[in-house]
Amino acid sequence: MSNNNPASAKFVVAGGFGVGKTTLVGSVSEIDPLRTEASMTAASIGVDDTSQVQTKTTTTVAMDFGRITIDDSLVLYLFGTPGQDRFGFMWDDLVEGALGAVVLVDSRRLADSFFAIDYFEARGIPFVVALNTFNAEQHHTPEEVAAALQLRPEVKVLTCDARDRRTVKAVLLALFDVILGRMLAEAEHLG
Amino acid sequence: MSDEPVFMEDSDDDFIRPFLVTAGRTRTNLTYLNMETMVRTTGADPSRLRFEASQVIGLCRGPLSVAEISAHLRIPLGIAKVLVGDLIEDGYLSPFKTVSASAAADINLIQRLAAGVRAL
Repeated sequence: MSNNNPASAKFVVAGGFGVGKTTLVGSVSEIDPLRTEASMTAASIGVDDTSQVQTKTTTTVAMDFGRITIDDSLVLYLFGTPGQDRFGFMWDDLVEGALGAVVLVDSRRLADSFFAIDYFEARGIPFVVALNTFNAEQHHTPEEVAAALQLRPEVKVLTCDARDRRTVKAVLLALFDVILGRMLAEAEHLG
Repeated sequence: MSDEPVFMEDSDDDFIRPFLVTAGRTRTNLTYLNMETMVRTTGADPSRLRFEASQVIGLCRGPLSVAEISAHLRIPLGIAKVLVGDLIEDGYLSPFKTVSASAAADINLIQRLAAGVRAL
Protein backbone atom coordinates (compact mmCIF):
# COMPACT_ATOMS: atom_id res chain seq x y z
CA MET A 1 0.00 0.00 0.00
CA SER A 2 3.04 2.26 0.08
CA ASN A 3 2.31 3.68 -3.36
CA ASN A 4 -1.02 5.11 -2.22
CA ASN A 5 -1.38 8.77 -1.37
CA PRO A 6 -1.85 9.28 2.34
CA ALA A 7 -5.42 9.77 3.55
CA SER A 8 -7.02 10.22 6.95
CA ALA A 9 -10.42 9.68 8.50
CA LYS A 10 -12.13 10.76 11.70
CA PHE A 11 -14.44 9.19 14.25
CA VAL A 12 -15.98 11.33 16.96
CA VAL A 13 -16.44 10.00 20.50
CA ALA A 14 -19.21 11.86 22.31
CA GLY A 15 -20.86 11.56 25.68
CA GLY A 16 -21.27 13.27 29.03
CA PHE A 17 -18.51 14.70 31.14
CA GLY A 18 -16.43 12.02 32.84
CA VAL A 19 -18.06 9.10 31.05
CA GLY A 20 -14.69 7.79 29.83
CA LYS A 21 -14.23 9.22 26.33
CA THR A 22 -10.49 9.81 26.67
CA THR A 23 -10.07 6.38 28.27
CA LEU A 24 -11.85 4.79 25.31
CA VAL A 25 -9.70 6.71 22.84
CA GLY A 26 -6.56 5.75 24.76
CA SER A 27 -7.29 2.04 24.71
CA VAL A 28 -7.11 1.82 20.92
CA SER A 29 -4.78 4.74 20.14
CA GLU A 30 -1.13 4.03 19.33
CA ILE A 31 -0.16 7.29 21.05
CA ASP A 32 -1.15 8.63 24.46
CA PRO A 33 -4.15 10.82 23.68
CA LEU A 34 -3.09 14.30 22.66
CA ARG A 35 -4.92 17.42 23.74
CA THR A 36 -5.80 20.40 21.61
CA GLU A 37 -7.61 23.56 22.59
CA ALA A 38 -10.14 25.53 20.69
CA SER A 39 -11.03 29.06 21.77
CA MET A 40 -14.33 30.74 21.07
CA THR A 41 -15.92 34.11 21.46
CA ALA A 42 -18.99 34.84 23.57
CA ALA A 43 -21.04 35.39 20.44
CA SER A 44 -20.85 31.68 19.78
CA ILE A 45 -22.06 30.70 23.24
CA GLY A 46 -25.61 30.28 24.37
CA VAL A 47 -26.90 26.75 24.17
CA ASP A 48 -27.78 26.87 27.84
CA ASP A 49 -26.63 28.32 31.10
CA THR A 50 -25.80 31.63 29.47
CA SER A 51 -25.87 33.51 32.74
CA GLN A 52 -22.65 31.81 33.69
CA VAL A 53 -20.71 32.58 30.55
CA GLN A 54 -22.08 35.91 29.36
CA THR A 55 -19.39 37.88 31.13
CA LYS A 56 -16.62 36.01 29.37
CA THR A 57 -15.29 37.27 26.09
CA THR A 58 -13.58 34.01 25.25
CA THR A 59 -13.66 30.48 26.47
CA THR A 60 -11.36 27.58 25.81
CA VAL A 61 -12.37 23.96 25.52
CA ALA A 62 -10.06 21.01 25.41
CA MET A 63 -10.41 18.02 23.11
CA ASP A 64 -8.46 14.81 23.48
CA PHE A 65 -7.72 12.69 20.47
CA GLY A 66 -5.87 9.55 19.48
CA ARG A 67 -4.52 7.98 16.34
CA ILE A 68 -4.62 4.54 14.74
CA THR A 69 -2.19 4.13 11.86
CA ILE A 70 -3.75 1.52 9.59
CA ASP A 71 -0.80 1.30 7.20
CA ASP A 72 1.79 3.72 5.88
CA SER A 73 -0.81 5.70 3.94
CA LEU A 74 -3.99 5.51 6.02
CA VAL A 75 -4.73 6.95 9.47
CA LEU A 76 -7.88 6.92 11.62
CA TYR A 77 -8.21 9.69 14.20
CA LEU A 78 -10.55 9.47 17.19
CA PHE A 79 -11.67 12.80 18.65
CA GLY A 80 -13.42 13.15 21.98
CA THR A 81 -16.02 15.90 22.23
CA PRO A 82 -15.69 18.47 25.00
CA GLY A 83 -17.78 17.24 27.90
CA GLN A 84 -20.48 19.82 28.43
CA ASP A 85 -23.57 20.39 26.34
CA ARG A 86 -23.07 24.10 26.31
CA PHE A 87 -20.05 23.53 24.07
CA GLY A 88 -22.27 21.89 21.53
CA PHE A 89 -21.99 24.87 19.27
CA MET A 90 -18.47 23.93 18.37
CA TRP A 91 -19.35 20.41 17.35
CA ASP A 92 -20.03 21.55 13.81
CA ASP A 93 -16.29 22.04 13.26
CA LEU A 94 -15.50 18.86 15.13
CA VAL A 95 -18.02 16.71 13.29
CA GLU A 96 -17.41 18.18 9.82
CA GLY A 97 -16.12 15.31 7.70
CA ALA A 98 -16.50 12.63 10.40
CA LEU A 99 -17.22 9.13 9.12
CA GLY A 100 -19.26 8.36 12.20
CA ALA A 101 -19.61 8.71 15.95
CA VAL A 102 -19.61 6.66 19.13
CA VAL A 103 -21.93 7.91 21.88
CA LEU A 104 -20.44 6.64 25.14
CA VAL A 105 -23.09 6.25 27.83
CA ASP A 106 -23.07 5.78 31.59
CA SER A 107 -26.37 4.04 32.29
CA ARG A 108 -26.74 5.88 35.61
CA ARG A 109 -26.59 9.22 33.78
CA LEU A 110 -28.47 8.63 30.58
CA ALA A 111 -29.56 12.25 30.28
CA ASP A 112 -25.94 13.23 29.65
CA SER A 113 -26.09 11.54 26.26
CA PHE A 114 -29.35 13.09 24.98
CA PHE A 115 -27.57 16.03 23.38
CA ALA A 116 -25.13 13.84 21.44
CA ILE A 117 -27.81 11.43 20.21
CA ASP A 118 -30.09 14.26 19.10
CA TYR A 119 -27.17 15.95 17.39
CA PHE A 120 -26.09 12.93 15.33
CA GLU A 121 -29.66 11.89 14.53
CA ALA A 122 -30.57 15.37 13.31
CA ARG A 123 -27.55 15.46 11.00
CA GLY A 124 -27.84 11.91 9.72
CA ILE A 125 -24.38 11.00 11.02
CA PRO A 126 -23.90 7.23 11.52
CA PHE A 127 -23.45 6.40 15.20
CA VAL A 128 -23.52 3.56 17.69
CA VAL A 129 -24.23 3.73 21.41
CA ALA A 130 -21.63 2.18 23.71
CA LEU A 131 -22.68 1.46 27.27
CA ASN A 132 -19.60 1.82 29.45
CA THR A 133 -19.38 -0.82 32.18
CA PHE A 134 -16.31 0.91 33.60
CA ASN A 135 -18.09 1.99 36.77
CA ALA A 136 -18.74 -1.09 38.89
CA GLU A 137 -21.43 -3.50 37.84
CA GLN A 138 -23.64 -2.85 34.88
CA HIS A 139 -26.90 -1.28 35.98
CA HIS A 140 -28.94 -1.70 32.84
CA THR A 141 -29.02 -3.89 29.74
CA PRO A 142 -28.51 -2.49 26.23
CA GLU A 143 -32.23 -3.16 25.59
CA GLU A 144 -33.24 -1.09 28.61
CA VAL A 145 -30.91 1.72 27.58
CA ALA A 146 -32.21 1.69 23.98
CA ALA A 147 -35.76 1.98 25.31
CA ALA A 148 -34.90 4.71 27.79
CA LEU A 149 -33.09 6.72 25.10
CA GLN A 150 -35.98 6.13 22.66
CA LEU A 151 -33.51 5.00 20.02
CA ARG A 152 -34.70 3.99 16.60
CA PRO A 153 -34.64 0.18 16.33
CA GLU A 154 -31.72 0.19 13.86
CA VAL A 155 -29.40 2.01 16.27
CA LYS A 156 -26.92 -0.47 17.73
CA VAL A 157 -26.28 -0.46 21.48
CA LEU A 158 -23.22 -2.38 22.71
CA THR A 159 -21.68 -2.80 26.11
CA CYS A 160 -17.99 -2.05 26.45
CA ASP A 161 -15.31 -1.38 29.00
CA ALA A 162 -13.61 1.80 27.85
CA ARG A 163 -10.34 0.50 29.31
CA ASP A 164 -10.44 -2.73 27.33
CA ARG A 165 -9.11 -2.61 23.78
CA ARG A 166 -11.02 -5.74 22.76
CA THR A 167 -14.44 -4.32 23.63
CA VAL A 168 -13.61 -0.87 22.24
CA LYS A 169 -12.51 -2.49 18.99
CA ALA A 170 -15.89 -4.24 18.83
CA VAL A 171 -17.62 -0.87 19.19
CA LEU A 172 -15.54 0.66 16.38
CA LEU A 173 -16.19 -2.33 14.13
CA ALA A 174 -19.95 -2.04 14.80
CA LEU A 175 -19.71 1.57 13.69
CA PHE A 176 -17.86 0.55 10.52
CA ASP A 177 -20.68 -1.94 9.85
CA VAL A 178 -23.25 0.85 10.10
CA ILE A 179 -21.23 3.15 7.82
CA LEU A 180 -20.50 0.48 5.21
CA GLY A 181 -24.06 -0.85 5.34
CA ARG A 182 -25.39 2.61 4.64
CA MET A 183 -22.92 3.20 1.79
CA LEU A 184 -23.73 -0.14 0.17
CA ALA A 185 -27.47 0.53 0.47
CA GLU A 186 -27.02 3.93 -1.15
CA ALA A 187 -24.90 2.45 -3.95
CA GLU A 188 -27.64 -0.10 -4.59
CA HIS A 189 -30.31 2.58 -4.52
CA LEU A 190 -28.43 4.57 -7.13
CA GLY A 191 -28.18 1.45 -9.26
CA MET B 1 -0.48 14.91 29.43
CA SER B 2 1.35 16.31 32.44
CA ASP B 3 2.42 19.42 30.57
CA GLU B 4 0.27 22.43 31.17
CA PRO B 5 -1.30 23.58 27.88
CA VAL B 6 -0.19 27.09 27.04
CA PHE B 7 -3.60 28.53 26.27
CA MET B 8 -5.68 26.96 28.99
CA GLU B 9 -5.74 29.96 31.33
CA ASP B 10 -8.79 32.12 31.02
CA SER B 11 -7.05 35.47 31.16
CA ASP B 12 -7.54 37.72 28.16
CA ASP B 13 -3.77 38.04 27.69
CA ASP B 14 -3.55 34.49 26.47
CA PHE B 15 -5.63 35.26 23.45
CA ILE B 16 -3.56 38.12 22.12
CA ARG B 17 -0.64 36.17 20.77
CA PRO B 18 -2.53 33.66 18.62
CA PHE B 19 -4.34 36.44 16.82
CA LEU B 20 -1.09 38.27 16.18
CA VAL B 21 0.29 35.08 14.66
CA THR B 22 -2.55 34.99 12.15
CA ALA B 23 -2.93 38.75 11.66
CA GLY B 24 -6.32 38.62 13.35
CA ARG B 25 -7.81 35.94 11.15
CA THR B 26 -9.72 33.09 12.75
CA ARG B 27 -10.67 31.21 9.59
CA THR B 28 -8.73 29.73 6.72
CA ASN B 29 -9.92 30.16 3.13
CA LEU B 30 -9.43 26.46 2.58
CA THR B 31 -12.80 24.99 3.48
CA TYR B 32 -11.63 21.41 3.01
CA LEU B 33 -9.12 21.78 5.82
CA ASN B 34 -10.37 19.78 8.81
CA MET B 35 -8.64 18.96 12.08
CA GLU B 36 -7.91 15.44 10.79
CA THR B 37 -6.52 16.60 7.43
CA MET B 38 -2.88 15.53 7.10
CA VAL B 39 -0.28 17.72 5.43
CA ARG B 40 3.36 17.25 4.45
CA THR B 41 6.15 19.59 3.36
CA THR B 42 6.59 20.15 -0.36
CA GLY B 43 10.32 20.76 -0.12
CA ALA B 44 10.01 24.50 -0.79
CA ASP B 45 12.76 26.44 0.99
CA PRO B 46 11.28 27.52 4.35
CA SER B 47 14.13 29.86 5.33
CA ARG B 48 12.01 33.01 4.87
CA LEU B 49 9.26 31.78 7.18
CA ARG B 50 8.80 33.34 10.60
CA PHE B 51 8.84 31.46 13.86
CA GLU B 52 5.48 29.69 14.14
CA ALA B 53 5.27 28.85 10.45
CA SER B 54 8.77 27.39 10.41
CA GLN B 55 7.88 25.28 13.45
CA VAL B 56 4.95 23.84 11.52
CA ILE B 57 7.25 23.04 8.60
CA GLY B 58 9.70 21.38 10.98
CA LEU B 59 6.98 19.02 12.20
CA CYS B 60 5.59 18.04 8.82
CA ARG B 61 8.42 16.14 7.13
CA GLY B 62 6.02 13.18 7.23
CA PRO B 63 2.23 13.41 7.02
CA LEU B 64 0.74 14.97 10.16
CA SER B 65 -2.78 16.19 10.92
CA VAL B 66 -3.74 19.76 11.74
CA ALA B 67 -4.85 18.54 15.20
CA GLU B 68 -1.45 16.97 15.87
CA ILE B 69 0.30 20.18 14.77
CA SER B 70 -1.95 22.10 17.16
CA ALA B 71 -1.19 19.71 20.03
CA HIS B 72 2.57 19.51 19.47
CA LEU B 73 3.03 23.28 19.10
CA ARG B 74 0.42 24.01 21.80
CA ILE B 75 -1.45 26.45 19.68
CA PRO B 76 -5.26 26.48 19.51
CA LEU B 77 -6.79 24.43 16.75
CA GLY B 78 -8.23 27.43 14.91
CA ILE B 79 -4.83 29.10 14.80
CA ALA B 80 -3.17 25.93 13.56
CA LYS B 81 -5.74 25.75 10.78
CA VAL B 82 -5.03 29.31 9.65
CA LEU B 83 -1.26 28.75 9.73
CA VAL B 84 -1.50 25.47 7.83
CA GLY B 85 -3.92 27.03 5.33
CA ASP B 86 -1.46 29.85 4.62
CA LEU B 87 1.41 27.40 4.20
CA ILE B 88 -0.63 25.37 1.72
CA GLU B 89 -1.60 28.49 -0.24
CA ASP B 90 2.04 29.62 -0.30
CA GLY B 91 3.24 26.23 -1.56
CA TYR B 92 5.11 25.03 1.54
CA LEU B 93 2.71 22.24 2.50
CA SER B 94 0.55 19.90 0.48
CA PRO B 95 -2.68 18.55 1.95
CA PHE B 96 -3.87 14.98 1.73
CA LYS B 97 -7.30 13.55 1.23
CA THR B 98 -9.79 12.94 4.02
CA VAL B 99 -11.94 9.84 3.68
CA SER B 100 -15.62 10.62 3.21
CA ALA B 101 -18.62 8.39 3.88
CA SER B 102 -20.61 10.39 1.33
CA ALA B 103 -18.21 9.51 -1.49
CA ALA B 104 -18.99 6.09 -2.95
CA ALA B 105 -15.44 5.99 -4.32
CA ASP B 106 -14.11 5.91 -0.75
CA ILE B 107 -15.76 2.63 0.18
CA ASN B 108 -12.50 0.72 -0.41
CA LEU B 109 -10.66 3.06 1.93
CA ILE B 110 -13.32 2.57 4.60
CA GLN B 111 -13.08 -1.20 4.20
CA ARG B 112 -9.30 -0.89 4.64
CA LEU B 113 -9.83 1.18 7.78
CA ALA B 114 -12.20 -1.44 9.18
CA ALA B 115 -9.77 -4.25 8.38
CA GLY B 116 -6.99 -2.31 10.09
CA VAL B 117 -9.05 -1.81 13.25
CA ARG B 118 -10.01 -5.50 13.24
CA ALA B 119 -6.31 -6.38 13.11
CA LEU B 120 -5.41 -4.24 16.16
